[in-house]
Amino acid sequence: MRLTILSLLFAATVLFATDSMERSAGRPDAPVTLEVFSDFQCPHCAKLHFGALKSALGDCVASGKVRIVYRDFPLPQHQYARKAAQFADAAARLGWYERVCDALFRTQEEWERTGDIEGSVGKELTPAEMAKVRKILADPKALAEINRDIDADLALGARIPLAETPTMIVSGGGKRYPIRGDIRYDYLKQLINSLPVK
Amino acid sequence: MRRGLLILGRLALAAVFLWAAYAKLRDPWMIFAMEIDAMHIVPNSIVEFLARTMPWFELLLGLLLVVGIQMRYVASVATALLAIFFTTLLVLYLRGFQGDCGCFGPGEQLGPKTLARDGALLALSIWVTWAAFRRSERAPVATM
Repeated sequence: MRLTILSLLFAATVLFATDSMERSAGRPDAPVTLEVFSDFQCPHCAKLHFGALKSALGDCVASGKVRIVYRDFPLPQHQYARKAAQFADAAARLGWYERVCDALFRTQEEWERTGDIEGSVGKELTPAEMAKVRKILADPKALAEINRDIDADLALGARIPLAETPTMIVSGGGKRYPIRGDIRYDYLKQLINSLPVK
Repeated sequence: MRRGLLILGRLALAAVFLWAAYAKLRDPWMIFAMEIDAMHIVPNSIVEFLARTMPWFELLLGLLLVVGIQMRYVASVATALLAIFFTTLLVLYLRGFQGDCGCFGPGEQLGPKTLARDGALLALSIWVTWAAFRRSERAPVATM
């Protein structure tokens, strides 16, 4: 009985945990990968996050078919986008990426007006958790690493080439499709199911 | 000379429609459906129908333009379709839409270049249609 519970817990961890280093969700060996380039200050990215991506998390990511890899693509015209990405990436190092993403996208209009990203993230995390995030961001070495990760994502996006957000790269079975905009999950699911994967 | 130019214009339009059809048909229909869906201009119930049928319609139109029969009708339909595309893309662009234009498969972001190209194609199609009507007025049974 205990073994069964432990096995179930392990499976749940593999399936649902967000990888703290790579900002990804789902099984690393999933046959289909959704690579999502988004900007925390972009309204369509928020729609995609709470629409198709949430549906995917609860469906094909949970079933082990899909892995979602999150990439930062802060657009130059969005004043606070990089700062928001820094908060999310710092939280990712502590395993709270999804929670902070949710908070940033949910309160997007608020912090876009005020610039108070910390206040928005603080509503989602406990004071103790928030202190840990702040500590990472206050560490020049950790912040430089986070900025390097963001720049690497930007460079990766530029090679695609990608000019706007959200853009999602769906790959599996030797096929690769770039998809732009806040699309509906119905079509995404049908596309995923049509990919020639075992 | 004018006849040669007309044939050239007709074949250029045919090539564009055939390429547009091929670029969509080589990918699953869902890709085009997501491009249409992201534009938020048609109801969800129509998105799938458009995504599944439009590439085949473009293929048919391209083939008819190559063959060159019933040019008054074929060129009129091509012009109407290009006018719809151009107007839709222009409205989307003015609204600030930055997604894929859905013209030749995924990967082309809607921008001034798209509008200039589609506008030029529309102008060419209008000219081919006008020429087809003029020719049929002179020789009603002849094809272009």
